[in-house]
Amino acid sequence: MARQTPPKDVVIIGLGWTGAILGYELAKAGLDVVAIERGPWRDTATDFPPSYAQDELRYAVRLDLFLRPDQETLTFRNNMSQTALPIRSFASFLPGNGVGGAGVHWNGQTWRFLPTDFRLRSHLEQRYGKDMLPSDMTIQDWPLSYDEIEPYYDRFEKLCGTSGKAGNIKGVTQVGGNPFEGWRSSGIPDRAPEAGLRRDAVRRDRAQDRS
Amino acid sequence: MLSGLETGAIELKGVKSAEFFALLLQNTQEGFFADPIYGGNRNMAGWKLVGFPGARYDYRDWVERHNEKYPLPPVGIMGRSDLSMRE
Repeated sequence: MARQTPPKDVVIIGLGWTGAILGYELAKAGLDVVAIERGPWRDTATDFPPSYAQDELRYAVRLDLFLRPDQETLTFRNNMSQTALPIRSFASFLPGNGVGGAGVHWNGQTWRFLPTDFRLRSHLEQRYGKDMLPSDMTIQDWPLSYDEIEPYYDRFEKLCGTSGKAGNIKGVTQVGGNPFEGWRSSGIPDRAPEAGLRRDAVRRDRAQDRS
Repeated sequence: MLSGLETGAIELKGVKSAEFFALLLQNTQEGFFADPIYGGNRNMAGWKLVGFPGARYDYRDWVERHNEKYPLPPVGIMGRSDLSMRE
């Protein structure tokens, strides 16, 4: 017998990256929201503690935080002549499981598309001629432009705490950033981290900022 | 026998012997190099063999220190081998 729960304004299926942001924004707007997540609840202290988070067998090999292939089986084939067979272990993509979804383990990179990426077909045709793309290639322009989406890029990067050095603020090239990137409405609030090859570049930037 | 399984020369019932061998090899490696809490890698013998520092959390201070031997002994989830309760 199905269980009937009190009605809500919004029901969100899945409480990963998208569901969590959606749930927060809708609740903030005053709506009554419930999210239904198949997997377990997750807490920072109990699910990601420094005492055993580095258990390679459990997390990197057995993929403890991710969907099991038998929970949601996907079949795969390389071409039309093959019969699609079940994927037995995920590798190239790792669907999440539980609150936070795949967001509990992501590469932490929030690169923006280039302005030309949003109008890729027009851009390629203008640059290389109308015959450049094969007739059966389905590349399209997006229905929105980089300029329209830029405020949301900015907002999302600030939400995530993206770090780095802006290369183009309102059309003005910034030293130390990527001169080829699309324009940004503001600089990146968090500085790039020091570790690795970027260290000397960061120190140079900071010396320049101070001078 | 092992090479027979690896090449598929030996026939097993219900499973391809080469696939069984691959799984056996993988499980052996996992047992030898996983944390000692899983029953293998006793006293971190596997980690000591390859000089792996074990289940340490943060290596940021060491990222820039190239070609330097890491001086600390391996640590498992339950602590160091000389402090563990086993044997």
